[in-house]
Formats: sequence, C-alpha cells, structure tokens
Amino acid sequence: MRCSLSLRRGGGVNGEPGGRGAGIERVTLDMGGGGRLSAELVRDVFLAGYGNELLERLDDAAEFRLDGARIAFTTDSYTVKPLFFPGGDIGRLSVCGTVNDLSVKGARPHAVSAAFVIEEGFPVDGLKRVVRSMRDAAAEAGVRIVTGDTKVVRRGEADGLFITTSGVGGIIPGMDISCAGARPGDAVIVSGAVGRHGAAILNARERLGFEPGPESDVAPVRGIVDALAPVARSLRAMRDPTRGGLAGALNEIALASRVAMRIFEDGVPVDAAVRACCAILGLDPLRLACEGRVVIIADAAASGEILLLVRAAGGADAAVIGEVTGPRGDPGVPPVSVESAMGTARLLPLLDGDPVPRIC
Amino acid sequence: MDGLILPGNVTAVIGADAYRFIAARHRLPGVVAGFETSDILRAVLMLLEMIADGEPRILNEYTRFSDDRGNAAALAAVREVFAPRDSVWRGLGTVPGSGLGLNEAYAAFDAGTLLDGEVPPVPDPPGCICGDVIVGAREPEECTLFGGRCTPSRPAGACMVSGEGACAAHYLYGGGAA
Repeated sequence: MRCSLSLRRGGGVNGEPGGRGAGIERVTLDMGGGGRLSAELVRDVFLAGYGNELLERLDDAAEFRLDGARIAFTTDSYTVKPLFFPGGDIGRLSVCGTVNDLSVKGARPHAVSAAFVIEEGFPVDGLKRVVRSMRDAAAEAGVRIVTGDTKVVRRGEADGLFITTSGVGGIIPGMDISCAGARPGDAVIVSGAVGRHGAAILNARERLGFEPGPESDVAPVRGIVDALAPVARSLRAMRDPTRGGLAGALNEIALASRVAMRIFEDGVPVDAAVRACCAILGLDPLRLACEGRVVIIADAAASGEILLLVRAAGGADAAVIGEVTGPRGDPGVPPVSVESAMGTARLLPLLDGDPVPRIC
Repeated sequence: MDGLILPGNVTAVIGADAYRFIAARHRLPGVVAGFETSDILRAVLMLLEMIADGEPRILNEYTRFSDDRGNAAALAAVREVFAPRDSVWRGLGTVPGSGLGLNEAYAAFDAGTLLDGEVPPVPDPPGCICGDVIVGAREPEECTLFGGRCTPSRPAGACMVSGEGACAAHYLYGGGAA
C-alpha cells in the first residue's frame, strides 16, 4: 500500500483535479505499477468500496491498538518474474517486503503468514528452494511464519508461483511514524545504494547480459530500524522505496506531508553496476526499486547520529541525500526536485506506472 | 539554424555516416551526442568550434556506444522486416520515404493495415502548439495549456508525454512554472 495525501483529499495525485482512470473499463498493467494509475485504482475501487479511517491513511502498514498494545499490520502479494534472480528469489522477497512494511511504520515484526498460489506442474524442488529462502529471510528478520494457505490452479491459470504474505508487529515505544510527518528543515536520509533490485530484475528477466550484473538488495531493514530506537523522537517519516523507487517514496512523503523536498543527485548512493545499466538503457536510478533500503525523514539536528547508527547496523553506504525545503508551493507543481552536480535542477514527479513491471 | 545535435541512440544503430550529407550538402555542422548533461555541453562546444572554424562536419561525441558504421546486426534486422514509407511528422507534415513500415513479407503483422479505419485519428487538443514547438518556431511557455492543463502527470499534448518531449523537458527543468 502507498500513502498520498492527495488521495485523502479525494483529488487527483499532485493535487490535480479529476481522475483520468475514472472512466477506464479494464485494469491495465500500469494500475499495478505503484504510480499514479495505481493510486487512482485504489481510490476509485478499494477506498470507494470499503474505505475506513485506517485504510484511508494508505500507509505501508495499518496501525491500531489491540487490547492496549500498538500494533502494525500489513499484507502484500508477490508476482516477481523471474522467480529466481541475482541476489534473491520470490521467497526471500515475500518475507522481506512484508516485514519491511512493518519496520518502516516503526514496528518490530512479530509473525508472518504465507499463502501460495501454485500453477499445476510447478517443480517441487523449486518450491522447496523458495521455502528455504523464506525460512532464512524470516530468521534474519527475527520473525516466524506461523500460518499459511496453499492453492493449486490449472496449468496456464497462473505464472508458476504467486505468494501473498501478511505480517504483524508491535510498534517500538516512542516511534510515531507516518508518511505525513515530514517538516520543513528535516533531513532526507537513505540507508544504502538505490536501484539494485529493479536493475537486477530487469537484467535477469530481459537477459540483457550486463556483467557483472546488478544484484538485488532484497533484505530485512529491521536491524536498521531497531538501531534507531534511541533517536525515535527525531524520526518523522520512513518508507521502503520499492515500486516507484526513491522518487516514488519521496513524492509520497512530500505529498502526504504537504512539503517540498530537494535531493542532491550526487549525494544519492548508486552502485557502479546499476549506474552503468541505467546509463545504457536511459533509466533513472532514482526510479528503480529497492527491496532492502529505507528512506528516513528526520530532524536535521539528529542526522549525524542517525547516519552513525544506520551505518553501524549494516547500512554502510547510508547518506544524507537532501532536505525538506519548506511547505509545498503551487499544488499543481510536483513537490520533489533534484539538483545535479552542475547546479541544474529538475522536477521529479510521480509517474503513471513503473518503468519495470512485475518486480515484486 | 546553425548546427544539429544528433541522437546518440539512433546512431548506435545507423552509424554517424548516415548524417554526412547534412554537412556536405547543407553546410551544417552536426554532433552525435549522448544523453547526460556533460554530453550535451560537450556537443554544444564541438558545434561552436566548428562554427568558429567555418568548417561544418559531422562529429561523434557518443563514441562509447556508437561509431561511423552502426550496428550491422541491427541494420540487417531492420532491412529484413521494414521498408521505407512516407511518414507524417508533427510540425512538418508528410515527408516522402522518411519513415519505416513493415514490408510485404511481414504485412500480416501490420496493425496499421489490419485495423485500417478502425482506429480514429487523435487530433491535437485545441490550443496545443506541439508542432511549432518541435520545429523551434515557438517556446513551450507560449502555449496556453503549458503548466496548467498540460503537465507531465496529466499531458494534453504529445510534447508533454515522457521526459523526452520538448514541453516535458521545459516543464521539469524550468521549475514547472507556466
């Protein structure tokens, strides 16, 4: 799930009126891409159908109280193609993606469910391999997979294997994280090099032959978020920049928080393999998905301490990449801009869809 | 017009030799350029040097991915599947033989023929000046739609679609103001 203030207002994304998707009769691929068309589908179909005050926040995970405890609860489906890719597979992804949605709400993941839709004929060895990955990722994230479901559909009625996982966790005391928390003057921090998952999937699926090819960063971010508990009160917003990449995550936070942000392109960590892949294909690493990173918006006064904590928790390439410059200006203008090394600036709007579909 | 910045991606397939006639016949300098900021700046510098020297040539700045002769395998594939065809260019109109269409052997796959008449033409919205923008006759800011009814997240005209469109580039790099 994605957050965006403009959805709550009932208007279009970026504050523009009217949804182009309103009159569309069939679902298109871009409606699952995490961009503007996804947001319109969620608003026009799901929120219109069964919206409530928890769902309408459109955060990565819903937060509520259960017998006095602050709980975060989330779910995600995984349809990544190929199922096995450099740096991970659908099993590792299905655990990490869901526990990361809990982590970026400031929660400690506690338990996960796993539901499988398997196409008739799928090799049991492959399934075992996926399940081992899930076991290992769960151990890494400090959760257990405690319930599940299995469905098999006829050959041709699914593409190999789809997995849906849900997760529940308890919010770390002192954490009060939502997409709407960013304030002018805050620092924008990312926990490591961006774009690796998107580039790895693209290289593997399309057999582009980049060597050495980019490897997915898919991993739990729990260790990083846990390490931030001492500075919990300085944290304003967090996101895992999955579909839509860093650009998507920053836009969602900026829109929900009604602020403008400036990102310094040179400060954004990008691996050489990802950079080369993007340069040749004309892709923007800021728009490629990560599956093991967290974007942190925090009180600028605490940014030095946060960097030390994140680096000590495994985010060796963590960096301050920008700042919240002020309240949002003209509601028709995208709120996030990027400054290049040469001092030129460009706007970084949300896109309609995703440049690389079926990455998660 | 004083010089041309030529497309690096196209040149990776067709090779820089395809443009030699521009310098020879029309006395215009051209530089094949990549897509980074530094590529464009370097291409402008190379154009200025040629203009200062009064010696129009076709130079290649994008040598990391393109050369004079192009990609033989890609060209062979293009020749196998396509044939030259008249093509309509926004702002210019129809130019004979300037486009490619599927050739006779592949005609069965040609949606343009198969759906002839079924797909209505999509006219530019009233007020759109994409054609003038593309030929450099007017600036995007001169369009009454620019930045208001026409933005990258909700394009009205073709030049606002994708970051490669002239109006989209003006919008994104000009701060979005109309």
